[in-house]
Amino acid sequence: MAKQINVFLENRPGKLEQITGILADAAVNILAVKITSDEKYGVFQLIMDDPEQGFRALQQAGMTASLTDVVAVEVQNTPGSLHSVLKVLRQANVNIEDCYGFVLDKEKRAIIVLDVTDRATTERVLEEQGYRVIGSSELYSL
Amino acid sequence: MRFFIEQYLRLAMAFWDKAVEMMPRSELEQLQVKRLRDSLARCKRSIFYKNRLKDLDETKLSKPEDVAALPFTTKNDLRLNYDFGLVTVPREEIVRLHSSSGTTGKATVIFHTHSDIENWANLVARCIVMSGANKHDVFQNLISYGMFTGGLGLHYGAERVGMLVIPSGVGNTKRQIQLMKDFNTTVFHATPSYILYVSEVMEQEGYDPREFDLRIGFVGAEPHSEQARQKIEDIYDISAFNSYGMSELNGPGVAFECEEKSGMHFWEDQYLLEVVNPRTGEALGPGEEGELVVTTLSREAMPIIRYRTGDLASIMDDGEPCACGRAHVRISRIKGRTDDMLIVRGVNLYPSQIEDVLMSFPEVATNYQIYVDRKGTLDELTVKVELYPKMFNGDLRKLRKLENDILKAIQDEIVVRPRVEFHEPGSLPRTEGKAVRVVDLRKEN
Repeated sequence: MAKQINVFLENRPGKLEQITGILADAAVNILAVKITSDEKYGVFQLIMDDPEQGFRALQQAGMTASLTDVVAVEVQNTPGSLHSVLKVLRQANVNIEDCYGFVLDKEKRAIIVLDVTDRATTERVLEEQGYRVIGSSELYSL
Repeated sequence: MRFFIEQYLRLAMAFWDKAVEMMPRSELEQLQVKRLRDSLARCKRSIFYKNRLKDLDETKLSKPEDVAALPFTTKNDLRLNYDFGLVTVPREEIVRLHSSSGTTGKATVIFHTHSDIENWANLVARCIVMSGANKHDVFQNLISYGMFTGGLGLHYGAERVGMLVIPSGVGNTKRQIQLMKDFNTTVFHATPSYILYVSEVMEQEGYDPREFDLRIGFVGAEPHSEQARQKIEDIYDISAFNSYGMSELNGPGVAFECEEKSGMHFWEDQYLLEVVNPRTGEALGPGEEGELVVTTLSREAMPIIRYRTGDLASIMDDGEPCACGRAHVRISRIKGRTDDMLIVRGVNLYPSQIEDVLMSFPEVATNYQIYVDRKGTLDELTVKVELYPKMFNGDLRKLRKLENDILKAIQDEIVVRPRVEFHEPGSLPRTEGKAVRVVDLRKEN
């Protein structure tokens, strides 16, 4: 299962840069980022090639970070791909809390990151439909 | 000529209890000694003082300063001797109790006999008349009633004077304005923040605050600056008077400004005042700022000896008796508190109460700060807390829920609705030694 790193941040200039600095120093590559924020604070969410290493680096720097499981599914970078994934999940009655994605190099592939309440069902129904669900170690080699 | 005019004006001045108010200093001190002896003898009937004063021969006290040989009484003594530990009369002689805010064992309760209530009403009446108000006035009491002494304290005093009293309490501001208009209110009592808020609502409703019949305002129960007083006077075109009191000493009516507004006259026939160094307890002279220590001189149900009020102020040292002729000493504005009690929107609260709530949430780290500010005219309380990293699960919605849960728990504890702000661990300032937990930005306004 893929890992997402969540970092609690006060909503003010320079906070994101502080995080990316820590990750750059730890030689961790960021694959995707996403921010959910309020007026005063927010949560910075990242997909990295080495989440364990990134998480340790953030903890050591005193950041309020957590590591959570998400479902990362590989799709073709073509029109209708995300739609097909969502259709499968709707049919399985899976509710999506959060969803974002990123494109992989030139190979016309993309990764959809899904935060769902029932990860096991999600992975099962997607795999039944022939999708490849990516684990943490695979993200490292992408 | 000027001398004669001043003499005439002085004769025209109104007094509630002229004999006591104009009592010469020497007589006042004799009265204090007599009452102090009586009060000490009475104290020995209470469980608390019986032990504490058992070796005392009060008849040996010959001047007011001799009180300095007696032990202090602290708020903690009152808490530890909750509920009847300081009471000197049979239960059936008690007619009322008042309590300070605080719900987690922090409450202090003060009891009154019928005669104590009478005495208190007369003291407040003295203050009211000193301000120039009289029985022809319509008095609107825009302050919390109930356990808070400001409500009933002024209410009884105003009725004693014979004013038409409107016990309107706090809130429902449009109705307050309607009452002021319909019954031609001339005198009010309010916290400075609330009465400023009322003026804003008046303006929103299309009224000019100066067009009302108001002429005198009593402001208190909340620290405020001279600028705030002048602002209130200007907005309403009135004369505003500062009031000092605390529930342990009955409530309002301990000290009050006369029309000279050069400090608040401390009613020395009823209270024996000392100013001490808050750290060492040593006596300080006029002009020196320290903690007010007060002994009640004629309270029956619950006399208190050398009470550490925690209020910082000084006895005015302008070298002359007050132009109004009253010999009772004057104290400066209250400059602050020795402990960290906060008064927000007229409600007393301790940072420890907020701390207790915060520390009951495992998601919260130990560092926090309390900010009090004034937005417009209302006090705003912001509690800044650091998150405990291990309890963070990455979900913003859970944080919002947590924020709301903390807010409600604090409000349940202190009544005032705070704002809660989450901060990263280590981001709130830390200081060497005692942490600066409270930042009161109101003082700078």
